[in-house]
Amino acid sequence: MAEHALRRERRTGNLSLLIAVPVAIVSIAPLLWALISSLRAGDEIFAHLYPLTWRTVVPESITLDNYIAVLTGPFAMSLVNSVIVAFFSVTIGLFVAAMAGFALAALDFPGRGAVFALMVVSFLIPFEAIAIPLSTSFRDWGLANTYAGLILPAIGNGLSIFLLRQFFLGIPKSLSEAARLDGLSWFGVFWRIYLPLSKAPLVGAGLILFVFQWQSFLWPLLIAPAPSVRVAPVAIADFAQEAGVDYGQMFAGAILASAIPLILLLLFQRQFTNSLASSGSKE
Amino acid sequence: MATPLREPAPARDRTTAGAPAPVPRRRTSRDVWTAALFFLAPAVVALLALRIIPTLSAVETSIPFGTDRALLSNFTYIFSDPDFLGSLRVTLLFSLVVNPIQIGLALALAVLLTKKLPAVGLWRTLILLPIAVPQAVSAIIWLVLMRPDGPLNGVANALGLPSVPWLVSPDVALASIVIVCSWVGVGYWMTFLVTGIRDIPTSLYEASSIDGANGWQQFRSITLPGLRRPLLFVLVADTVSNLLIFAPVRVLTQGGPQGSTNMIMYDISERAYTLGDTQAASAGTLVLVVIVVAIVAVQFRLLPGKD
Amino acid sequence: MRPRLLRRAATVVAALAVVAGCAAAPAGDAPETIVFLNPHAGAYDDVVAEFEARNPDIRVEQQSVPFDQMVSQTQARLASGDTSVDVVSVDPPRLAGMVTQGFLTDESASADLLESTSSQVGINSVTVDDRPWAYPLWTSDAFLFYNRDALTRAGVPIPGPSDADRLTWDQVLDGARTVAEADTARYGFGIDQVDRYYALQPILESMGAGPGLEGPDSLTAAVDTPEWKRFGAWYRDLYTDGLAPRGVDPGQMADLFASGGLGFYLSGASSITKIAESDLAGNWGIAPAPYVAGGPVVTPTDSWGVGISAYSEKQDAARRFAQFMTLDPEGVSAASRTMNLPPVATAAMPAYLDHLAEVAPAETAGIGDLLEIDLERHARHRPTSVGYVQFETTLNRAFTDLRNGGDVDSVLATAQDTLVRQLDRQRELAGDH
Repeated sequence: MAEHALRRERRTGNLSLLIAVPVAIVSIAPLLWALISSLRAGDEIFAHLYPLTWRTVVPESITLDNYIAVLTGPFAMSLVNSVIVAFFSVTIGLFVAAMAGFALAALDFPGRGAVFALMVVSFLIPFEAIAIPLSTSFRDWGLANTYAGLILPAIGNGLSIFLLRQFFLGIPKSLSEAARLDGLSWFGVFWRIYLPLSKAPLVGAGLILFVFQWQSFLWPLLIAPAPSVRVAPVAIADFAQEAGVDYGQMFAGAILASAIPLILLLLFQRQFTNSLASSGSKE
Repeated sequence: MATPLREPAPARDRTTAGAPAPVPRRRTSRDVWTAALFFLAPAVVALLALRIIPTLSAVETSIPFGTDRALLSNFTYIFSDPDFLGSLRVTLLFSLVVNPIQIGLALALAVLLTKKLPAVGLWRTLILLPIAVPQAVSAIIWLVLMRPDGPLNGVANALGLPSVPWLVSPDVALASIVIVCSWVGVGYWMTFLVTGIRDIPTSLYEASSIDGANGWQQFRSITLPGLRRPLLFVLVADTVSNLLIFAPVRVLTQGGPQGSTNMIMYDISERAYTLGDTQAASAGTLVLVVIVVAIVAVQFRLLPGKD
Repeated sequence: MRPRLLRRAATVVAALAVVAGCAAAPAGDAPETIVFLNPHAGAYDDVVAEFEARNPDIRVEQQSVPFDQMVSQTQARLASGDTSVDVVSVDPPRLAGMVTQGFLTDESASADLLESTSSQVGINSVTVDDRPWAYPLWTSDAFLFYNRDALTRAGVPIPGPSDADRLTWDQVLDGARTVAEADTARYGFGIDQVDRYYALQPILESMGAGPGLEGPDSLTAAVDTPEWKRFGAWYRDLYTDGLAPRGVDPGQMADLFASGGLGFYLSGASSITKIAESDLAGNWGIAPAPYVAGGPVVTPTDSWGVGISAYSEKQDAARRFAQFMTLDPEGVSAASRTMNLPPVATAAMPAYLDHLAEVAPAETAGIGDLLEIDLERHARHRPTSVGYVQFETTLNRAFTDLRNGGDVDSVLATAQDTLVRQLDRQRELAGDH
């Protein structure tokens, strides 16, 4: 690269940092505030809310009481449940979605447009709105208060199929045709050619599935209210009682619930970035 | 590899060795059929059972068979209900504001965070982090932050600005919902665009750099065209998810003040879950689905990334 | 229910999709398990343990949902005939709607038992069409809590604890204004259940306004009368003057009082534990709920009871549990300990007062007498109507709009229109059956 271009890259890099850092701070400020609040004792959260003083951000004393209370209560179990549900939703859901996306992108068959339309329409339907009839069916099928009842709605996620199909369309058909000529089965084409080339969109589709489950609230409340299968968002909402809300514990729960994806992201930072950088990486 | 290549369909039947030459087309067809069935079956079955059939059952619920009422009476009812009409208006206004903001910010940040920056992964992770908090919970955090005597106004006052009636004024409340939803959404949609930008070959940028193109020119001539597919995806997915916003409204404003944040999904769930009027709720759901399908169809048509 | 062709179709499709063996394990000869759906996580642990110890053949599984999700949970699950709920918490004013929809069992067989153990006010709260449909557990009352230090430093006299010392609203708000001006607390006054009809109905009626629902079945809306508008202006001004905090949720209000942010605080007995354990300990007190000068004294009443689901397949076990927790003095005491609400069962009252005396001896010294007088003379039920859910939802929203400074006439006119429309719709739907 030319010398001046390098220098310019460095300069814009520093300028970019001037934007990136404040944006990142704004993004996590509400969470930092929740973190600080979760370290305060009982009623102290509301004592220094307003006006803004240094006490608003610095607790009088730091206590882990909220975390201890939360982790020794039923919440710990719900966190485990959430992880289990998210894990199976992502793995099974990803496999099913990738297969469908592959068929819609790589196979030419009559009716392909109609099937794709079905997939698109299916993610235009608000899940909350069909939750009542669906939960009735789930109870008839014996899926109430089971992990399967929680995981199934993430399977066949139209949005992730759409994302994967969009990407698969960009893979030249000549690749699969050549492989077919060499005697590779369609599944072989899917498994050995399409999937390895698609780490980035697979990460994206996995993110969609993960977020769908991690955010889901109404459905688990309807179909899995039993303590043994309760998931984290529902358990956190339980800190809101008729007589008042235990904000300290609620914030502690929120921090723990967001810490798990954060730890995953940081642990797999390298893989995540690498997989986001497929063929034509800029580095 | 990610540059879309369209190759003419070549001959593709030589796998079935020894078969008589004249009938290749039908045999391939069966082979492709079997494969298509195998790959699509799980997803199609799941979508039918978990999305399509419940929706059809909403159609069934919304039509009062076996009563004295007109078949479309539930639709006439909701379309004569000022609350429902108001929710349509609010939802459309919200969509017109929130989608350009979220997609514009997500795109700008994606471009920024694919440059050579120190600790770029960290900034990306931090901006993505809000999506990791369940929305039902992050809305509660904002509920306290946006109190009239909450920390947000504390910061405003400390900067010499007046307090903002975030959630209590009918003129401001919808903007507050836009802020909360964007706080969650921007990092999420940015991630998909980052993926897309990283798929654009670096050589294209290098070549244009040598030609003396500036950053804006590069963005116009390389980044945007290269982002066609991910942008279409983000546009469609973001629009849909914003039309279906529910948790923040429920926690922050319950549709108020004076109906100013009564978005359609909240209106529908109130009917179904609080008032117990499943017939009107089902009718509302169908109206919503029709609106979403119409908007998405237009997006598919207008965008060059149509595939 | 209409035949559900689609549901059957869905079952066929799902049979292909659902992996066998995922379904819940069938019960063997283990004790019978009943499910208790309630909005009070943790509140019933004691009574469940006590009940299970006495009835080894029954196990109680609690399904607690967040308070503001209770209505929708009940609606979604019982309307779909969910057989997995056996015992369900019931908010008395919603009872009529639940009975109309066929959610609950007729408990007439236990009418005599109820008569002999519970207060008449409590029994009335679960009666629809002259028959009991649930078991009343608690009743409730409002009190005026005050921050002693904030009042003293501002020179506001400390209100007395008994019925005879009851203040008028003008006196309370004058005192609150003095507190706010002296800045001994951030706000002069706050209401616990902000914007909820439960807390505001007594003030409305003390001002001479009607309950808002009229007619023989309480299906006629009347919320835009001159008295309602007078109340609307009064409520709005509380907040526009900055006397009471705007934009603070019910969930945040007890914390605000406990952290010294309020001079006066209108709340129920369930706040006592939280306040007694806060930094405000020893620096607060309880006075009777105020009334409007020239009007009657009106206090709120009723609280949660429990009903038995009409879809339950274990109604006998469910009934044993429901009766134990509402009628047996020891069951009632165990069930009331956490929520700290006054029990309906008369025999459980002394234990309840003893418990209060343990939590806050000085402050609750006069509360037993006050409760008795309020419940006997001043308590007013919320209207019994199949349209109560519509009524409460619409009004709570209207109260919020008033608190946020909306125009009184237009807010109440909108509420009236909405109610008329929704109650008409209610009648139209009822005509289907």
